[in-house]
Amino acid sequence: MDPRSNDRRGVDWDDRVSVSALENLDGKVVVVTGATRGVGLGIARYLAGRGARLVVSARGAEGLAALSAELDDRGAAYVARTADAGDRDANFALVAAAVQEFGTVDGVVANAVTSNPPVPVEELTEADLDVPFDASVKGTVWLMQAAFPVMRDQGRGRVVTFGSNAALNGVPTYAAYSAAKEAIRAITRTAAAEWGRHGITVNSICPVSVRHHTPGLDDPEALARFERGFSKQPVPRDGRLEEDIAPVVGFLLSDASAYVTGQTLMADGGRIMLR
Amino acid sequence: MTTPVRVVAPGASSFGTALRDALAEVDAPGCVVYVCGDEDAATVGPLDALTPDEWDRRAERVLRDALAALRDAHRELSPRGGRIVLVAPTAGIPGAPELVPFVTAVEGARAMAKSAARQWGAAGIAVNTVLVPLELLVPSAAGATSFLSPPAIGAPTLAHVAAAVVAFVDPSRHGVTGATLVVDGGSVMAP
Repeated sequence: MDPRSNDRRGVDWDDRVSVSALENLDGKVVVVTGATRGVGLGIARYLAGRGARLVVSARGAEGLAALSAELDDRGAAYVARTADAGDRDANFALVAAAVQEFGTVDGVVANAVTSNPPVPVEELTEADLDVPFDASVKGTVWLMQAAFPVMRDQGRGRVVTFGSNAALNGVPTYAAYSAAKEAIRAITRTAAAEWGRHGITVNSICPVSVRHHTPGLDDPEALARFERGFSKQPVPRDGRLEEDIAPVVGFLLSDASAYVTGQTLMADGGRIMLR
Repeated sequence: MTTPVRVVAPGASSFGTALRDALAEVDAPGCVVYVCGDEDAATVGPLDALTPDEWDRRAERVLRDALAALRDAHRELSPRGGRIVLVAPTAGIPGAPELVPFVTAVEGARAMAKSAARQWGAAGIAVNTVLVPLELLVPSAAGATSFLSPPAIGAPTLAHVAAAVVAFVDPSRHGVTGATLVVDGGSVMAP
């Protein structure tokens, strides 16, 4: 095959790449779950800053009110909804809200996660397993199912799911969380294989950004210990939500990733380089 | 003034030339893209008939070229930091019959890129890898990966690859290094 003989399949490509056009998120309609804290909050802020129209969700009304106030200040177009990530109807309602308010859904970011206290494998209960599987695994599937008909009918869509470095590497007492995260990556590859023909890409990201949920870092000694934990990795610091993690999600939501599907992108400062 | 991405491609790589053209208008100072593989290196042949000379041309030369390119890029970028992107075929992940020396070298180059990422990360130099279908990079060797699942999304294009390369030369993704991004429409989804 001549590398210049492009089959563009209806996409307005040109051999000369325009970065701004490919990565333009202006006007894209994106659903972000778990949007009021941590990685989800960073993604919501990043996307709003690039002109995306958002449906943001979280379980807590208080966090959602704070995010709404911030998005109002930014002049963002958005819909905010309280939703339990594991509730199938709630996920369908998020996509319905996007369609009702903005007319479509271009991308979904299945970020919401519920984790439980660390438990050794030998002490895991069924309830321990249900917590991450209900919210994270089922929540991801429900959101994907909700978005699928819209994306299929428009012949285009972006799904971003979340794996975990802890799951890839193995971390003691995180079996339930890790199992759920690897299940999500398996579902991601399967959906990618099924939905590619509709122009829908499905990819995972494994982000590392833990400072925002690590307690006790007001103590200088604890902070120094925390920072030393990153000193041996190539980018020797914790991931920054808007600067390091969200731009990777932005890529996976953009036209620049049109031929990337079923993949996992690491946003971990090069910590594990598993593949 | 635009500083285009510098694309380095050994031998007579038509893919390298096409990629250079595709990226001509991308303003990305401090970036080097290295294309790993060419027609000679990807010459198909049975493993049991492989000669030492062929091994040198199809495996060790590829590794030496990749090493030289990484060192050159490091010398160029080390004062200020920057980004290096290795572009190579996906064939190294599943392996490819009749291409043993080449895919061995490709995986070696990818390991080299990851090690360089670890060594140079603190100096602000990110090293990432973009893997593309063999048929794009070396059309004459395409048959060696005919056992792969077809891509979930249509046929591969140069523009798709160029777009993904741009993602790695973009300074906004400074938290990503040592990563491998497969741009093949979902044909190879190794976890």
